[in-house]
Amino acid sequence: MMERIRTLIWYGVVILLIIICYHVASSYAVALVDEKFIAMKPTIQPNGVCFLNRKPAGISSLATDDVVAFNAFNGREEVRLFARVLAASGQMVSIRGGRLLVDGNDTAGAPRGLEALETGSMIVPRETVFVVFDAANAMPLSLSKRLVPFRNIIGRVMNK
Amino acid sequence: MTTNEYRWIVSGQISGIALLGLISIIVVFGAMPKYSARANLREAIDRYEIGTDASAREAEQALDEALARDPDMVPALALRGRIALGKDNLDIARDAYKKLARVCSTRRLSGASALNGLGCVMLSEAQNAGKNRQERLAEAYQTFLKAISMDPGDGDGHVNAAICKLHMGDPLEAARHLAAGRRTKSVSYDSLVMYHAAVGSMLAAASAEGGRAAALVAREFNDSDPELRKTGRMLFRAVAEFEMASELALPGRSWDELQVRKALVEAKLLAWAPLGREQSAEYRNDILGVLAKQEHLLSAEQKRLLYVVIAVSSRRGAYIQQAAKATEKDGRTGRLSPETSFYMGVALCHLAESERQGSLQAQMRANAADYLLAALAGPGLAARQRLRALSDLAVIRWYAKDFPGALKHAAEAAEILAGLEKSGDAPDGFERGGFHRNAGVIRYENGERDASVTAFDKSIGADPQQTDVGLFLAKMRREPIIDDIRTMTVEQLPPSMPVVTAKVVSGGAVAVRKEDISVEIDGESVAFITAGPGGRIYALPRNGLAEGTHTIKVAVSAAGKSPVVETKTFDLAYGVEIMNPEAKGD
Repeated sequence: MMERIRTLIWYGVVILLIIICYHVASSYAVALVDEKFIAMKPTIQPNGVCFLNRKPAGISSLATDDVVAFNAFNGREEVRLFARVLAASGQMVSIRGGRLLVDGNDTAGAPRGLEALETGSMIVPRETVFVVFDAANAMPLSLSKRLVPFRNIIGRVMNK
Repeated sequence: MTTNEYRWIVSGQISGIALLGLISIIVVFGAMPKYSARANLREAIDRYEIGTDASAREAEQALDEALARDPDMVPALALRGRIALGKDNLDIARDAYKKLARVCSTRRLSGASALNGLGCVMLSEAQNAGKNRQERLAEAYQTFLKAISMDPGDGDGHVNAAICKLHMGDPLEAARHLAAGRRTKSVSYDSLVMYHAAVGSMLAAASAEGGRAAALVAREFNDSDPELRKTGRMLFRAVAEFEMASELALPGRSWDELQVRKALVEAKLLAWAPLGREQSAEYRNDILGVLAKQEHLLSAEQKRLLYVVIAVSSRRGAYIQQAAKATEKDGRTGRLSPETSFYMGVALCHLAESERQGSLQAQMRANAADYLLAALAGPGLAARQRLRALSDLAVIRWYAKDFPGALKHAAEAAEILAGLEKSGDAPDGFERGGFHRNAGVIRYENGERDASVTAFDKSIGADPQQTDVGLFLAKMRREPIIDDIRTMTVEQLPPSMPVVTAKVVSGGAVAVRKEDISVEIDGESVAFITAGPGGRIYALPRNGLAEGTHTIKVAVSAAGKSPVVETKTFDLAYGVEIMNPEAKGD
């Protein structure tokens, strides 16, 4: 009898391990940074390794200053990019005179060089985040902004 | 361990392995695009977002596969409708949205997106409808209202309703919907593009309706920019909104249409607003880009308008010739909308100013007058545009020496301006100053010096920067000097008709005009006055004068003031030299 119980416990442990492994595999990921990707230096280093939180709940609750990894089509192929979230879904964002305004309020600690990305008031669409590439040592014109749909987001960078 | 226990273990192991195998098969096959409708959908979305014709075809193929696997897949049906709408395949779009509505109803999901899609189909159909256009637009609007009531937190319905209202010619209601859509903070990516495009169109429409309507629209739109109520500001903001929409839109027809709409607003700004050199150059480049790449989306009159505006703004010979060529055929208009006729007329007025060849200049002004009259004859021209048209017409008539015509148009324009000022819709100081300055010049040339001074005063009041008008006014206000009044005899005339002479000179740089001088002898005006060199005038009495004392009165009407008058008396005795003891020697 004891042997049977021990066997069933083992089965339980194995199933639990499988569930945990599945959960970890589906919730977290490791992403390698391309050696040519310099748009987020020094936050994200070329040839570096990023640990991503892929939980859907985490993606839907992205907030200003989070860094995300996402897939984008560059005209030829799909590439993996990293960028900083400036505004989340439903927020009103604008960049005026280098100041980042989210819902009309000045955002402290916004990336430098936003002067080059002047934009009028824009609502960030549903299930989308407004991001910029904010390499500290890059020329201002190398900055760029874009809207990234949730479905293109691979995960939130944990070791930013 | 008994046999029975082994059986338990073995059967448990077999069941576990079978379960894991089953899970593996599901996971592996599910992950393979070929076996997953979701993967097909994902591929369809990715292809659709590339925005090229080829990628759109691939997206449709992927959608076909997705719907073949799962015919009731909600996002696939929505995407099918959206792609079909973008391609103007309205039947396919309607079928997709109707099916979407059925599926949503069966699954107890919100059918707002399906209703929004159906409304968009109806809106597209209404745009192509002839007589029933307004009715069909109203139907589409009702569908959007249903979508809004079904899901009030969804901003897409408000954006669509706003677009519908813009097509119905109601920017005020459109502003309410756009503000409401913004408040929901829930707008899809596609609707965001339409939101910015709709804001741009709404601002352009409100600006064209004049200051009062613009202020109402700005209030309803409730934007963070307090200056948005100004019509000029609205046009600049409209350009920014179209730029934003273009930035977000996928390449394709809608992107091209946004470029066209932006170029048309930029043309208005080039025609109206005082722009810096760089900004003018930027706008001209945009317009030239549209004329080169999106020409197929422009109507003939829009093309002509853009060419003329480019010509006026750049003042380059090549563009001027191009514009003249584009306008000469339809100079008599009637085929153009009042607004286009108006801009053509205004632009040709500018164009004429830069033309050095007199005959061509006169022809351009005549064409401009035709356009402006056609614009005024048509319906729907805003009061401010009527003001500008009449003001320009007055100037054209003045150049043609048609002073009664110039005065008539100036008076009509003044009436409109007074109405606008009363209603708080008056144009800015620069424009009002220009209008009053022109009116002043016309009245001055027509001999109405008092009226011209009043007009110049208003001009300075509206725009104190006009130093030239201020200077002219100051000169006009200096009193003329009347000196050396005396009589003289002329051999050809009988002695009873002595010629009265006086020296009348201006106190300032503006010469005294003969029309402003009057001479009376004993209260009776003289037959005629001749002006000689050095400000000297000669006047002949109407009838012979009796011997005795006579009074000569020389008066010069002074602008804005009482006339300057000088009086002299003299004794007349025939056979005796005329005695004029008070007269000064020449």
